[in-house]
Formats: sequence, structure tokens, C-alpha cells
Amino acid sequence: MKKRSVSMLLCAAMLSGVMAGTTLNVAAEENADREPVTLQVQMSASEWQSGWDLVKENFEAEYPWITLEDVGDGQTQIEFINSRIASGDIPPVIQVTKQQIYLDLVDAGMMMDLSELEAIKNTPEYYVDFYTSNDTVFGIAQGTAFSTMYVNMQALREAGWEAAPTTWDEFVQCCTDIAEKTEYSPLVVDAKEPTLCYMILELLTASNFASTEEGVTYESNIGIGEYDLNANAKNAEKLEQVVSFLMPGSAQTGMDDVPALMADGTAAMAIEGNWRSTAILSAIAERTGSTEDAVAILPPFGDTAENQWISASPETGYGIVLQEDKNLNEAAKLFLEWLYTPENFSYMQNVKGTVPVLTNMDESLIKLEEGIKSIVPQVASSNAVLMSFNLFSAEAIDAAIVALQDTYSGNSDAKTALDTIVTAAKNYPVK
Amino acid sequence: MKQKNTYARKRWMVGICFLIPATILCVMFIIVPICNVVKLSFVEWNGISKDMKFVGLNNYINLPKTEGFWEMAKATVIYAIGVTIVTMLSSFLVALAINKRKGPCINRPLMRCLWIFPALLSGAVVGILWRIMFNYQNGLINTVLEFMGFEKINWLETYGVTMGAVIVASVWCQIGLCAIIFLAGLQGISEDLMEAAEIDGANSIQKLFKITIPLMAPSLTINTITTTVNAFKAYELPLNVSNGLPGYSTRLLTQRVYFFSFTSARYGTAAALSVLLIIVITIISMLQLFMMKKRERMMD
Repeated sequence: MKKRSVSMLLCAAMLSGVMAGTTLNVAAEENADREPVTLQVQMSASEWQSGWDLVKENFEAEYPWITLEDVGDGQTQIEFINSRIASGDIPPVIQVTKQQIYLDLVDAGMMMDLSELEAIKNTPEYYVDFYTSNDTVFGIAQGTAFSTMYVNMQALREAGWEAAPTTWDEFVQCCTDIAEKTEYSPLVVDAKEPTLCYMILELLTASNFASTEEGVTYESNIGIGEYDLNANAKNAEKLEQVVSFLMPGSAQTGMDDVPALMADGTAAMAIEGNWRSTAILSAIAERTGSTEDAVAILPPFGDTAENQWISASPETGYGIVLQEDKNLNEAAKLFLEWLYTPENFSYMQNVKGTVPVLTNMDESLIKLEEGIKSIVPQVASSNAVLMSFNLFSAEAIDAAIVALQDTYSGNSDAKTALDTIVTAAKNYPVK
Repeated sequence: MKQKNTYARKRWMVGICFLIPATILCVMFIIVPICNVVKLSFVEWNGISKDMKFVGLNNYINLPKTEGFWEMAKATVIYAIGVTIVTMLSSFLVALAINKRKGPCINRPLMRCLWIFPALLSGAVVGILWRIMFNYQNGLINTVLEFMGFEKINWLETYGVTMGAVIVASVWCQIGLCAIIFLAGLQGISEDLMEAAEIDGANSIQKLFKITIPLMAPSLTINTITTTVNAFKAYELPLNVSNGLPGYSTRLLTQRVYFFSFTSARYGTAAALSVLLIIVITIISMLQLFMMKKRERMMD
């Protein structure tokens, strides 16, 4: 009886082996029949560049007929895509936002509709709607982007603060104490980067909203110059106060400078995006020698701890530009399908350390910096206003940033900057 | 007579044959692109849509109304004049120094190489290098100033000062090449002339103004024109030093061309501004050439 069972088991194992071998052979034959393609994937200023090698290695092992090539590193996302459009050589897999150029690509019928993608079913509806235009789902977000304040608790303790500030008054007092009692500059911001340069003003403006409805009015009117930033004098007043605490040189501070400034102890706090959490929190921990002193909080610009606003947006997504070569379209689709499965998505998420967009991602696959874990639940319950780059035209963003940078460097006052922004939005309205 | 005509025609044909490849290349890579840019300047186009909307001269008419246009035009002129004057003066002094045949010098060939070295670096590299040096917090220049007991200067965020910083970086990059051209001019001056002047009792200053500079006129013409044209065309170096700040005070028109085409996707406006820049640079270069040639003739 035993012998029969063993032989039956052996038979089954052999059969399954043969079956598996056949399947593998079929897959291999399928792959062997495929015409090899090189799939370009845009990786401009990407926060997960260091995870690319793992993605490439694993994807190419599964799809040997597709060779991945990352393009656009060293250029901003928008500059890269525009230069490729100009040369008529748009890569199949591109990074997308809600900016006009991507909506133009959709209107021209050049973007693939991703609504049939398996990953879309595991993406919250808001994110799908966000990247939908003309009934075309043209992008799939990577996660949630939101404004964050990074705090060096050791610096705060030196200034006599045992906990991070939670309201505007506490924030002002904390900055004053840091300036008076320590060698640190109270605050630094990467004002060279438009999104972050404008983020402070956005947060301050939102903290002065009379109601949550005003947030909706702001989002729909700011881009066409119909929202007067100076109507509430508190906006300019608060901005002036923040500017007085900014590290000199903030207007020229770039994305990579902030971690360096936090690591060498130049600044005590930084306002940045959550997508920079890994770099900045590690820098603070390096400075203080303890990960517990590297803390992330929501910028405390509201009058009470409960009434805080955040500036948030679905993160940059990935979309597919239709190519004449059908093989490339298929390869691009396969790549996105592959990338947006929980296991493979973790290659990207673990490097970025941001909140992933996929709902089917197991907790064990998600890696978040210790310092930022505590604020993730707060983000879900906070009032949020949509991030600036989605609200303005390119010309208006440029004028707004120049005006704000001038204020941050002390060459102009806040009221003038706010007037300039409204005028620019009126003169160059978003379509 | 007939034989002579045949020979002349043959020579003419050979000449034409030699000209054809260069003409084809010139048409393909210079004339056609310029014509395309001019054509593009009369349309409104976002780079994607299949239809280019003809707008006549609107792109040109609306250019001055675009945000910060006059500030950028002013910055471009100040930058071009500043870079040209400072480069000319400093490179001439450098050429005089490295041309010295008598007197102590550590290693003359090495010194010449060192001066040319910055010209071998790309503008972007030089820009980043100087940006680091001018950094407010921990830049080399502010560290030295602090060490010497002076206040730190916000080199990259102060009106007036930043343009100076950008000009210094640009001059540093160009000084070597201009000095080489001046050096070639200096080495072409006969020693006999100098000796004769010395015998006649001329001092160093007199020799410089009465002999050296007049004989350097052709080198001066070449250097002035190339430096001015380069300054009007400059893009990556000023951008990397100051990022166009503060305000629009160091943002050059070339940076605006890039912005119109690759940030806001307004190819028509970008082309109109490019055409305008080509016209301005051509007029300035021709004026300079005319004035310099006139001066050269006067000196002859």
C-alpha cells in the first residue's frame, strides 16, 4: 500500500515536473519568438533611481525580450518630455502629472487608456479620476505626495523645546527660541524647486481659510487669478514671519542641498515633501546620532492643533505614450502591469519611502521611515488643498516662484509677491 | 582663344564641384534650420497638435508683453557688455604676463596651460563650480571673508552682486582662449620694433600704447566679436551659477527661449525670440566689425 502511494506520488511529481517544464518551455518559446525591444522608461529627477537596477534585473529576467532603458535622468520631468516632443521621440513609458502638456497629449490621442490595467482596480477612485481626462485614464499614480516638516529634535531641545510645535503660535515661538538660543537657522526650504517654494504660501493661505469650502474656491480660482491672496491680510503677515526665520540662501537651495544642510546642522527644521523623507530623516539621524531625534510632522501653521491643512496631491504617475511599433506598446503595458503588482511595486516604494497608491499592498512589503510613520494616519484625516503645480500654467508658476524667491531672499515684501502671483495667474490662466 | 575658354570653363566647373559638398552641408545644417525657426516664429504650436495656427507677427508683437521680458533683455545686455569688457582687459593682461620672455617665471609653458584650462571645461561644470564657491553658508569665498573678519555676502541672492558673480564665472571660463589669441598677436610683434623704440627712449607704457596695442588690432577684433557673440548666446553657465535670480536680474534671454520651448511648450514664441536674438547679435557683430576694421585701417 505504502509502495503504491510512494509510486503514485512519484508519478504525480514527475507529471507535474513535465507539465511545469512544458509550461516553461512554452513561455521560453513564446519569449524566443518575440522580437526583442528596448523599452525606454522616463526617470527624470526620480526619487527611486537607486531601486531601478532591481526593477530592471527582475523585469528582464521575466521578460527577456524586453530590455529596459531609463532615460531623462539629470533633467526635470517637464523639460525632458518637452524636448522629446520637440524631437518627435517620446519614450513609451513616461512620468505624468496633471500639467497642460499631458492633457494635450491625451487630446491628441497619443496616450494609452490604462483603464483596463489590473493595477487600476487596486487604485483608489480619487487617484484614477485625478489622472483621467477626456474619458482616458492616462496615468497611474505612485502614491500620495504631501507637505511635511522635518524636525531635528536635538536642536529643539537646545532651544528649550521638548516636543515639536503643533500650532502657529508655538511654531513662531519655537523658531524665535532656536534663532536666539542656538547656532541653527530655524527653518530651511528647497525654494529652488517650484512645488516646494510655493508650498509654504499654500499652507499658510490654507491655514487662514474661513471654512473647508474656501479650499474648494481656492483650488478652482487660484489658477485663473480669481482668488485674491491679499484679501486676507494674515496671508502676507504670516509669510513675512516665516521669511524672517528662513535660512539665508534658501531661495537658491536645491533638492539635494536640504539633506546636506540638515546633516551638517545648519538648519533645525525643513519644509519639504514626504517623498524626501528617506533622505532628510537619515540626514537628521546622522547629525544627532539617533533616529528618534529625526521627526516628521505636519507643518503646524493652523491656529489649533486640530485645524491643520496639508498641501497634497497624487504623486507623479506613469503613463504610456502610444508608439507606431505595436510591440513597444505591448511591452510598455506589460511593464506597468508588472511594476504595479505589490511585490514589484515595493522595489520602488522601499526606496522612496512614500505612502503607496496600491490598496492590495501588504503591510510587510511597505517600508516607511520611522519618523514619518506617525503622521500617515493624520494625513488621511487632515484638510487638504491640491498642490500648486496642478493649479497654475507654466508662465504663472514661473512668475509666482520668482516673486516668492525674491521675498525669501529679502529683496521684496510678501504683499508684493502675492499681488504678482495673482496678476500672473490672471495674465496666464490655466486652461 | 577657344582653348583658353575651355580651360576657364573647366576651372570653373572644378571650383563648383569643390563647392557643392560644403554648400549642401551649409544648406542642410544652417539655412534649412534657420528657415524652419523663422517659419515657426509665425505660428502658434504646442509641439503636439498637428495643426500649426498661423498668427502672423503676433509672436513678435507679444514678446515684450511677456512676463519679465524687459528685465531679461536688460540682464542680457549688462551681462554681454560686462563679460566682453572684463574678458578683454583681463585676458590682455594675462597674455602680456605669459608672453614675457625675460624675467623670472616658475614654468612658462605650465602657466600658459593653466590659464587655458578653464576653457576646456564645459559651461555647466564651471557654473556649478562657481555656484559652490559663492554659496552663502559654506562657500569658499564667504569662508575666506569670514576668516578675514568680514561679513558674509549673499552672492547669489542680492541684486547687482549676483550679476557680478555671474560675470566673474564667465570671464574665468573665457579668459584663457582670448589670452591665447592675444598671445599669438603679441608673438607676431617683431622684437626689432621694440628694440628700436627702446633706442628711441620709449618707456614700457609708451611701447604698450604706441606699438603693442595698435599692432594687436586684428586680435582685438576677433576677440571682441567672439566674446560678445558668446555672451549673447550664453546659457548653461549663467543658469548654473545663479539660476536667473534674484528676480529676473540674471536671467538671460536664451534661458527664456528654453523656457518657452521646453517648459511652457510655446514653440512659436520661442522661435520668435530666437530670431530676434539672431538679428540683434548679427547687428551688433557687424557694427563691431565695421568699427574695428575702421580703427585697424586708421592704425595702418
